[in-house]
Amino acid sequence: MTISPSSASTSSRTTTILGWLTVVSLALTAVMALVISPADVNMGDSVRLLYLHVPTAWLAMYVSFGVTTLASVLYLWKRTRSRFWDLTAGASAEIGVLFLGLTLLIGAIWGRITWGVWWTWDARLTTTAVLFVLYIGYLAVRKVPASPEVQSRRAAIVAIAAFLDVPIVHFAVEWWRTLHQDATFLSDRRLLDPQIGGTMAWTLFLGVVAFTLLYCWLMAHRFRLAWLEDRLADRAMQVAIDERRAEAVQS
Amino acid sequence: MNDAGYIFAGYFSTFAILAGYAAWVIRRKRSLSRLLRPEDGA
Amino acid sequence: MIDTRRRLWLAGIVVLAALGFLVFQGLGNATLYFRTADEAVAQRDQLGDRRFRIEGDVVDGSVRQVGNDVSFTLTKASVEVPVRHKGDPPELFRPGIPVVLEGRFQGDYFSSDRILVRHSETYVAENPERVTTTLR
Repeated sequence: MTISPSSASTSSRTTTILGWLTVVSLALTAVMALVISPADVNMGDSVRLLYLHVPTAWLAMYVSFGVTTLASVLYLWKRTRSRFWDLTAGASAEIGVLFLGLTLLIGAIWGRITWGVWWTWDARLTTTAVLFVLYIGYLAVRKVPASPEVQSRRAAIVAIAAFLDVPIVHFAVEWWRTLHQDATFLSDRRLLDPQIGGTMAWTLFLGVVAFTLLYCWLMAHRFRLAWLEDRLADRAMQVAIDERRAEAVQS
Repeated sequence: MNDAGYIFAGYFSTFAILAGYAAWVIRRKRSLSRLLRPEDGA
Repeated sequence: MIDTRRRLWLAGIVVLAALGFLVFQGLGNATLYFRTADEAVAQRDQLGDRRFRIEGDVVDGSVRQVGNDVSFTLTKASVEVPVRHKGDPPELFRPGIPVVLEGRFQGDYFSSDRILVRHSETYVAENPERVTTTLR
């Protein structure tokens, strides 16, 4: 993987455009969600939190952690092994943890309004909390000192293990009785027949697009940061080796 | 709007947290690339 | 180096403890989050005055204010359970909706101290005339 080290600015033209698209689509989502879309017949205005809760959850669970898993597999596979995949996995997982944290935060507020409680130990909420802790654990494992190869391999294995919880979170609402509602779109029963009003569906769609753009933009910058950190660590290592060598020559 | 306080707090804190994270990434990236630049000769 | 390692061990233990706690909570609680009203009635003797969650629909026209309490009837699979709830019901509480109650059997009624309003995965606009298209 060759990336030109750095021009004067750290952003490319593409990421700048992507950044502006992200800001505009997020602003549009907020306007659609808070002003234009209607209240729900049962949930009232609290339904407006759907347009943050669902996009952050999808982007965290399926996209961020999906990319982390894929990149980890590609790292473990000898033919595709490269630092690039390891850094991609780490960057994506961090963004996933951020998004999942927001899912939990918005979910708590939504729960407070509709159910009357911030939190309850039903299967969906519990397995999601487990997922959050698992990926925080993954980010911690990445920092455990070892040789770079050992560090990356260890992280890749943990990443794949952590992803096993994603299908459990997804199916929790079908496998067990939960207070949390079932999937509106992503179930065999609902995929072709979602029960959601037009404006609400379009607002949600826009939210998913906005958060996808945000994910891509954050990824571009977070990956670059990870790459710079890696270069810096390499250089520190090289300096240390040179010093040792100089000492050895002197003695 | 019912529960406007909760809903606006949710939107505000979400966007604030996202902006904070983005700012942290960009700031750190800039300072690191400044550190690396001399030797990379770019 | 030693210090970093020790700190990382500590972090690892904290993460594992958190996971252990969550799984314990999950096993104890999440797999049987509630009993439906008909199941609860069938298990009446075993349940005794144990605390559990019961689920059912609020029967239309059964909601009455009794002093500081609210009384109503819960139904599931044509089994009815009279309920007395201490305190005010939540904002979104209304006849016909599914609810989960926390409490215990007391004599011939279910004594509840928390109402959790369940929600389905369907979303319908409050003012349908504002919606011009539906996604089908």
